[in-house]
Amino acid sequence: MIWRNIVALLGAWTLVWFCYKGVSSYVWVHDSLLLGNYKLIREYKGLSVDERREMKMGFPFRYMKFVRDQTPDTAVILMPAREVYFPQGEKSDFGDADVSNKLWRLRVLYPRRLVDEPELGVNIYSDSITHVAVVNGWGYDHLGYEVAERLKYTVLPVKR
Amino acid sequence: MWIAGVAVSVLLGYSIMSVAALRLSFLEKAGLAFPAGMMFQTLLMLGMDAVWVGLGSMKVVWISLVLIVALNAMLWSRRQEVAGIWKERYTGLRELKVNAVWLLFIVLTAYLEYLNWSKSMFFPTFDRDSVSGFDTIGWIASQEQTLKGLSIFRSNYMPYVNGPGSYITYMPMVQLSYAYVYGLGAETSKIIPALMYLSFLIAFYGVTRRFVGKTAAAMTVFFTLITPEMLAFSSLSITNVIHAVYASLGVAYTVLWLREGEKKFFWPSILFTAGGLWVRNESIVFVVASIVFIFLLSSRKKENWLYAVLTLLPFILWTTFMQVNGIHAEGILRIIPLWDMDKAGVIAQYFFVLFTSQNYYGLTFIAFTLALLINLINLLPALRRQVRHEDVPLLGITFLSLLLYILLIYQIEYKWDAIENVLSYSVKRFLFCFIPLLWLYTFSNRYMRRFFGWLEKTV
Repeated sequence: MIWRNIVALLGAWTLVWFCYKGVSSYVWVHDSLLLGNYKLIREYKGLSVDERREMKMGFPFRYMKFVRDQTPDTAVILMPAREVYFPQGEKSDFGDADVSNKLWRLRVLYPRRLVDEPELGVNIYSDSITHVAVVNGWGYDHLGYEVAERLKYTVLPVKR
Repeated sequence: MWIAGVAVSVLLGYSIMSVAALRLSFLEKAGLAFPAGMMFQTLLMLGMDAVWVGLGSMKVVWISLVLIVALNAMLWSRRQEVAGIWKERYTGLRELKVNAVWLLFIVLTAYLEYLNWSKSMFFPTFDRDSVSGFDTIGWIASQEQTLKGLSIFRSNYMPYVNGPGSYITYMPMVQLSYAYVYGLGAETSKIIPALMYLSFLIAFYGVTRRFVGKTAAAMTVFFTLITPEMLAFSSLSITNVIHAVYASLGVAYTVLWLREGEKKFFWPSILFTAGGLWVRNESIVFVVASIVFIFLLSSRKKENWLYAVLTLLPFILWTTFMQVNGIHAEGILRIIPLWDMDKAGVIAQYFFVLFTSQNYYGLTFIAFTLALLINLINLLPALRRQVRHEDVPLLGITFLSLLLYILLIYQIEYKWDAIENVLSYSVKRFLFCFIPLLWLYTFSNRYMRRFFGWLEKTV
């Protein structure tokens, strides 16, 4: 019985090997998707959840986290329209992230309330904005004071 | 705390499966436990929300514990039968004949799933559709302890929330399951998709054993597992793989119930077919296809109607909940039949690309097509003579669901996105539901059964 098992095992292994070597997507599954990520996980296993999220989401998450850390939970933040995140004809710092979607931003910023510029006057929180998210230099016009050093990305209170 | 909460979900599901289908194998019940438990807990959460009881996860845990006690009290009256079943299992385990091929595929499956589980649990939710939808809704629901009263469901805060295809009308199971673990203090919701997929692999092996021997069952699970796109999405928080878990298990048990007529398959078939609909609206195609074949092939009228009503229940409940609570979005489905050959052409073209894509589905469609062509030799004459062929329920429900889904895609008005995008992304992911069914047929058809029967006798 043992030699029959060995023959069958060799046959099964050949099938697996043929699939693995013959179909490029199976190579990707093992080498990149599973083993590649596993090596990465072993290397970075000490990271916090935020750091792991940043690994995957990059700058868009880092910026939202910055806004989150600089504002109180009760803040109402004015944020720009889609065109500001993704200026036409220019490479965006936000890549292909869904940052113009409020729900995407709320995953990081909740329980803060968000008002997108096109929603001013429509959004129930339009009149209670406490902070302005400065994105790509946008936002300084909405502050009630002058800012000497204008950073490309920051978050500032509406009133000094 | 969230680990204890998940353990309660598993225990609840195991208790439900034990009461509903005591004679299922231990592997089947162990695999079905978490999806069944989560389904009941999220239904409970919807009920709580409907009557303005806050969605506190601890309340769900306590109610689940009471249910577990009640269900096991029901089992107590059948304790002799339970003892007999465990005795049979023990005897079966002692007589278990292991062969090298089976062992190889079990070890490979365990190894790959270990890597997949690690990936799933390590990375928090990051994929676009989950962050812009399911995961965030679950997170906020756990904070605001409501679904119907969610701040992000209000149009004066989210002005586009009632637009076509809005997240507001998505079936709520996945969002509520995320709310459950977040409410228990989990930092990410990834335990839900991770445990769903692990449970699926175990349950799918168990149910496949009902069709074929253990070696072919191990291979079926292995080839399903390594399907590239499905495996990649199984470690994300998106709903598609979770949907595939319920829908494919639902079809498998429906087929078993139709073929063998045993009561132990009846309730799992209802639970998991309905479960698919509790996860995603499009699962209506599996429900309708299953109902059609049940009325065609089964003469048990009472059970047929029970099946039809109960599998549609999630849809009825959610629609009623939305109506009562003013949750609505602009419709996207055209009820009046369309006549648009350009659109039909685009759909046909994209489906052809998907069916032939090895990048997404590996060898699934090639292997299934070969199996089907070989089996046409005995299938066609049987159909011509109107003899009930054993393949008819599985192939029938699979093909009818696919046909209904294509019709659904055709009838939708693409106001929120281009049809090309929907076909490239949503449809690609919906096809995950078929992957386990196609491999199930590939390894459980007449010729493969003969081959593996011979193999298991020989080794």
